[in-house]
Amino acid sequence: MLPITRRPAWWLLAPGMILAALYVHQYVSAERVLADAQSAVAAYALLLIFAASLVSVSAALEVGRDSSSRGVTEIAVRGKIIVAFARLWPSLVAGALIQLVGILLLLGKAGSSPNRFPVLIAVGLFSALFFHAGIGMFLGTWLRARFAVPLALVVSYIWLGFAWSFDFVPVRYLAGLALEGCCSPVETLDVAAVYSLMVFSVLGFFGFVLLAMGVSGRKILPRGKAAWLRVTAGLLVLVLAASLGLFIARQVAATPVKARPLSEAECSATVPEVCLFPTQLARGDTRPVYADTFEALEHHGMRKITKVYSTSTAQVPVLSDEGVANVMAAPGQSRTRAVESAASTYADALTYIECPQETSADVYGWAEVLKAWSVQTAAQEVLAPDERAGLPDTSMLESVSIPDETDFFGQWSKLRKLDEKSQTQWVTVAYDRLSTCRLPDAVSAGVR
Amino acid sequence: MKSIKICAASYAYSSKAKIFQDLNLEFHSGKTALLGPNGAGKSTMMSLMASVVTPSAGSIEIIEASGERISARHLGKFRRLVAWLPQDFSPVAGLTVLEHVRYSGWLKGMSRKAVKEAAPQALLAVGLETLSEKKATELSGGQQRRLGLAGALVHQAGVVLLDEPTAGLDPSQRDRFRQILASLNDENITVVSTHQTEDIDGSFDHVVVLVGGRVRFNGSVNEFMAVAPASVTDSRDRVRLAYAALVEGEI
Repeated sequence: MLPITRRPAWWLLAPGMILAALYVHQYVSAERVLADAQSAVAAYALLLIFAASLVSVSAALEVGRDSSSRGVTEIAVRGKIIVAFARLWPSLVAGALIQLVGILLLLGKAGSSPNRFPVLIAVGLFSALFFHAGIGMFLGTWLRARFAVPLALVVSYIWLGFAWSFDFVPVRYLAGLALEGCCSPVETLDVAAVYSLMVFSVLGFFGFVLLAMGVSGRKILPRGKAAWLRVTAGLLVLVLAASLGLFIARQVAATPVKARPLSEAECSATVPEVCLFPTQLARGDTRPVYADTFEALEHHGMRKITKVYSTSTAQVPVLSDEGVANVMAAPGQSRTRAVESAASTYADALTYIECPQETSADVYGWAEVLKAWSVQTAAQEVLAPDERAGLPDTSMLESVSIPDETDFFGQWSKLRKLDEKSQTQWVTVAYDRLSTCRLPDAVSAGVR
Repeated sequence: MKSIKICAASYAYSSKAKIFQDLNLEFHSGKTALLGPNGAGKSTMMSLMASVVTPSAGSIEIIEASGERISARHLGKFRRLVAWLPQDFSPVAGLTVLEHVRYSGWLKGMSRKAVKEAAPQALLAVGLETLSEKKATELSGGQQRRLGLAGALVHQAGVVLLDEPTAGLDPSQRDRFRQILASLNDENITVVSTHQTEDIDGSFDHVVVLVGGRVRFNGSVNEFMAVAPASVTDSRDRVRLAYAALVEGEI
């Protein structure tokens, strides 16, 4: 019954949309969400600061209009929830429109995606708006608009920021911003994080409704037993909401993800067999490049690789004893980057070995020399000359050199000057020694 | 509508500030003036009858002409029958006059269609039809009270409770309010709390005088005026003196 045109939410809609669009344009890289609808929608979580602020502020303004009146709403026949809904729906719709625009822009950045639109994340993020509507409604009822509106903005903002950075991880999922940690191509959403957000937000909204029913804009403290009862019930519902939300999210990790099941990977008919997830294949099939790289390095004396995955190291180590490699494969990865990723596997595996502190810096430096050799050697065989231009500059070895001890860039230069057979001999011996935390002999000392 | 009845009601703001104790009072069809000095409990009584506040003991009920009793505990049903204009009426911001009356009707449970039809009639009844597109918060004090009355009356309530509707208004606005009051249906139960004793004779059928939370007088206008000395012939003077006698010098 309230006129649809004169609602505060619409005034704030345009600035909210512009801020959301600017944020997506400026701060969300296409690489982060490429070919991944799930990641794109989850990335929207950061934009909650715009939608949630709009909802809490406009809710405070809307409800403040009723609570500052006298003789209009006090003996309403319609229920408080219905009246609150009549007041709050434009705020929720405007917040949802900002979310919709943000999500569409992010999906635009992601491009076509093999995974389906993640309805659950979108619903979860929408449900977060109810909590902020509750904040605005409670403050708008309790305080005069000139206090309620800025306070609603501050409370919403602080809640989002506070919860996101809280040390006790489950708290982060109550606010929703932490959903932006979902998901790399090798991960999938831990739905418990979204359920936690939904349960907390919706129950929390009802907690605020009860609180709002117990206070009035005319008194700081509730008056009468019924009012105190409502305030107490509201606080209890808020505690219940937080408890349930924390319980649901109790086992969610610091990012709301789980390893994507290996059964979803699509394997090539190459040797070695390379298995990548659909998202990783959505912008080009790099599986032959990975296979060629490992095959080329095997010919140069490196360990035989039997199977290649690109997944969480919780599922597959970087390099297993059985010769299963775990590589970093991003959607849209170039051939050059694929060679670099595959060839780095041997050296990366060394960094996972726990060596004594006195040798760890040396192991790292020698591993970088091995990495440079692997990448350059594989590139020579797999990539065309123009594709090699994008390989990393080996001069970075200077930065890992240990002054007055080992000049890794110098060792690398000497290694490259050896004939192919000597290079292979030195590298295979060095790799074996580094795998057991023993340092290789310097290149100039010859090959054992 | 037969009557609205306060049955053994008690109400207190706190343990030290008791307003009513075991109060019994019944208002019947027609217009009743609720008189009393400041702090007598007039506004609290109106709030109790409007179901804005709940008695700590006792009950409030409306007795329909059919004999059906509707307790204030059944808020929805009870409130559909009650219109209330508080002394400090303040409109909802962001609405025009017409939208305000529509919103008031919707809050009272009217359908959108019904409230769209009834709102212009309610504005006509209070003489605000020409200001229907004006912002409610931009109306003068007297106009805002009339807007409140239009909102209170839009759902055709059987019990109309007007708390000091003319307090603070200039003479022309008060005249306007009296005219509106006179036009209200006599089959309704209309209770008007007021300090203005001069209108009792012409505008009301019954008088209740409340002092210190207790009913000092409850009767017809003629019975009320009979309290004044017979030697006084001017009806306004009789009302004034009767009131003064009843509140024992509190004015």
